[in-house]
Amino acid sequence: MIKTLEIKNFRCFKDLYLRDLKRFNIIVGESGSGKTALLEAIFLSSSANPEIWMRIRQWRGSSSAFRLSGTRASYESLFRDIFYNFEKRRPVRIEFSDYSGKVRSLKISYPGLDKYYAGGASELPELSDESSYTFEPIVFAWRSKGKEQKARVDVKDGKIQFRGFNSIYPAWFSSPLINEAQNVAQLFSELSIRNKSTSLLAAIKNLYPDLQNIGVESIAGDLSLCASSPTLRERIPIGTISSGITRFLTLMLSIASNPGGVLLIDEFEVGFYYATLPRALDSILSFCDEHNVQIIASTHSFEFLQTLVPLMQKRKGGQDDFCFLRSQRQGASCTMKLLENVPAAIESAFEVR
Amino acid sequence: MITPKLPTPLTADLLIVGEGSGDASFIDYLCQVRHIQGFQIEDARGESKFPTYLNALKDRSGYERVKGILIVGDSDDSPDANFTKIRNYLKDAKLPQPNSPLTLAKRDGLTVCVMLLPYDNNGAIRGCLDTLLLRYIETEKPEFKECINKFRACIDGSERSNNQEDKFKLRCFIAALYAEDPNLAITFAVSPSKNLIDLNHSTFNEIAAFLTGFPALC
Repeated sequence: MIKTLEIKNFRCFKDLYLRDLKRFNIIVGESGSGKTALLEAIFLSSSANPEIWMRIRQWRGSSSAFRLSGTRASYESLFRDIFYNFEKRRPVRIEFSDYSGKVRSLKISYPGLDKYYAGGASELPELSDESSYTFEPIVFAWRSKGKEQKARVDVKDGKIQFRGFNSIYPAWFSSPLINEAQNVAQLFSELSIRNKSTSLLAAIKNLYPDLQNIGVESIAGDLSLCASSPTLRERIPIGTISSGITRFLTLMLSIASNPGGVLLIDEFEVGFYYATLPRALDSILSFCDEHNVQIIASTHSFEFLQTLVPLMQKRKGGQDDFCFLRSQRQGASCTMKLLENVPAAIESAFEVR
Repeated sequence: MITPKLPTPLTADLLIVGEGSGDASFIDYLCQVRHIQGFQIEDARGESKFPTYLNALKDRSGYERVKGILIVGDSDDSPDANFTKIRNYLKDAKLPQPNSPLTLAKRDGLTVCVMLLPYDNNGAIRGCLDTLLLRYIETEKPEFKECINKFRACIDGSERSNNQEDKFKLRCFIAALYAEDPNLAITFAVSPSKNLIDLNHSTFNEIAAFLTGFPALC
């Protein structure tokens, strides 16, 4: 379980340090204040390969069908927004420690950049050579368990290549922007094969009693998690029945598949019908306890917070298991403020989001 | 069923918090009538909710912009005890605590002040908002004053606290003067639209003067 997090020069974070994260961490704050960027920072540093950065770009709306021209500018445009204020000479550093004292860090830099600047030039010369190696590649350097492993992003024949692989930290990123249907089927299948789907199926039945015969089917060669209901003659993909059910399943499956890990959830509330939200949240929190999973999530929803607070208060650990943070933008940089009394704020109908 | 309140952020640099809805409503209308601007005025929804309100204030969106907080409560029958109670609430909420009514406590760019009604320049005197409003009505409607005193004596000779006496009399005045709704709550009775209380009256001058000068103290 992540206890501290330090981010330097990543996206909108110039210098951020968070301590005493808890099992359930909820981030509020206005749009563009760094909520998603914080989740991305953790996901990136938990990952094994710079390929994750390309996935994050796609989730943020960038096309996967890019074509590199061979110039340094073309290459670096893929990574320019990794760096705070686009300052690529300042390395990104993301480091977290868990409650057992283990530290994991990621440094992202252009190690060869300094040689271009050694002569005192203020700007990099524009190189028009079509060769793949007219520039110094970006390097992702992970350090965990006292070992450093590097991965660099090369280009060959106009295509990106990732060299190097690292051990991962069990983290899962869930966002409404990510189509989870395939993942859900795959994760369910893996759980089912290991005979570990019983408690998940019980939770689904509790929340959506009409769903029956849940299982993975092949539809036109694609794996799909299907279910039947009394109103349907045939089983159909769950995503067709409800995107809310898919969201719930995604979160539950991510928890069950990452014991001891961290679940990063962007816009937690999205997809949940208000009347099912209390039971869905209750199930998710209980599942996290059962599988020792930590949640770091963002939300824009007061209704979500109103639902969460009573669940938090009825828990044995109460408020001790929860941490609320509000992201705020101060100029070009984003910061996080610890919220100390969210239950009282919700009771007083204060805006805290 | 009571409609739940929508969540609200802090949007002004200066916040006035009435301990109850009557105090907040009175200050709000007074500011409107006297053109005193720059305050966000709210009520803490009564004594039982007041500590919760103050405890949550720092988590509220917009708190960073707040430079001054003026808390408006009632002295009731014991100004000292009531001031101490508010001071303890401020302490629990880790907010600056003034040493006496109408004095300022400053910390980290935030000024906090407590005003107890009925207003007294020297700090606080016994009474409540009803006492203050009663002062005005007794001045403006002396013909009613004797009737209500007789009514009070005739009804019941039992001992009541001064506060209870004031509340009884004000309720009688409102019932007598506002035929449309004899049960009109004080929160609404202080509205200029009801034509019951003239907030431009000299009775309220000192409070208005303090409110006008408060921003400069922060």
